[in-house]
Amino acid sequence: MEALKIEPYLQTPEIDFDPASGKLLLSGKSYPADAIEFYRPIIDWGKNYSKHATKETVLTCEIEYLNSASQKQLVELIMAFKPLYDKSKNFRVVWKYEEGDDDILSVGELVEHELEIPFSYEEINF
Amino acid sequence: MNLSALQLIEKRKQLLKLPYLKDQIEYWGPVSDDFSDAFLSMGRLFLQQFLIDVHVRLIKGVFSSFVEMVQNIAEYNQKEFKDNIPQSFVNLMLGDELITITTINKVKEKDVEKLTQLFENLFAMSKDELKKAHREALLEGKSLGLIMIKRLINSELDWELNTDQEGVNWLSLELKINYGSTKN
Repeated sequence: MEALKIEPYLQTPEIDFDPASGKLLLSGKSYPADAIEFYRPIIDWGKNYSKHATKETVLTCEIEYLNSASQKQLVELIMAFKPLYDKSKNFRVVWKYEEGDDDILSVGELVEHELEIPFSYEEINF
Repeated sequence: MNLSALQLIEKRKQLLKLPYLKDQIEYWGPVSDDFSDAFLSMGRLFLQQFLIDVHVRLIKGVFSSFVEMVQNIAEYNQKEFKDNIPQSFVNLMLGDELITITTINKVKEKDVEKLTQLFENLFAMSKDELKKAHREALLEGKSLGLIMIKRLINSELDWELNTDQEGVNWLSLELKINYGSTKN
C-alpha cells in the first residue's frame, strides 16, 4: 500500500500517512470550502488501510483550526480506522491542540467518548 | 487591539488620499466558494494583525464564526443560484471592545419558512441543548455551523429576514463578540 502525502495549503492541512510505520499525521488548519471533496480520498485511504494493517497505528492530529464541515469529515476519518481498534486494539489517536484552545480540545473529547477509541492529548504552540 | 498599527495604516491612507474604512473589511458582491477562500484568508490576516493581545480561544472563535458565516452564504449561493451568484454583503469590524461580523444574503422564497423555523429553534435552545445539538450534528452529519456560532463565548447573535420592495428576501446575521475582557 502506498503512502498518502498531501502538502498543506492556505485552508487545508498537511497529510502524511505512512503505512509502513503505521504513523499517520494530519497537521495544520482545515477550513476548505468543500471539505467533503478534500477528505474523500483521505477517508478512502483510511478504509483501505484498515483492511490490511497489522502493526500499531497512531493517528496524530495537530489541529490549529477546523471549520464545521472539516469537523464532520475528521469524525468520518477516525471512524474509518475504528475497525483496527475493534479487532486488535491497535489504534489510538494523539490529539494535539493549541495551548488554551479548549474548543478544539472538546471536539477531541467528544469524538473519543462517542467512538470509544483511546485518545491522548497534548497542548502545543503553532 | 494594536492601535499603533491601525494609526499607521490610517496615516498612510490619508497621505495617499485613499478611501479608508477604518478597522474593518467590507465586501458587497457575488459570494461563491472561490471568493470565500480568498476573503477568509484576508480576514484571518486582518484578525491576526489587530488582535495580538487577545486570548487565542477568542481569536479562533471570531475567525471560526467568520468562516462559518461566509461559507454558509457561499454554499447556499452555489447550490441555489449556480451560475448566477447573487450579490451578498460581508463586513468584519473591530471596535475598542467589540468585534462585529455582519452578513446579508439573498434567500429564495421556498426557504423563508424553513430558515425562520431553524433560527427560532436555535434561539430557543439552552446552553445544554446547544451542546447536545453540537454533538448530534457532529456525529450525524447535520448542519453544524450555526450551532458553533451560537455557542461562541462572550457573543450575541441576531438575525432578521426581510423582504424588499421588489419582493426579494434577505437574511441578515449580526454577530457581536465582546473581546475587551479577554485580553491577555
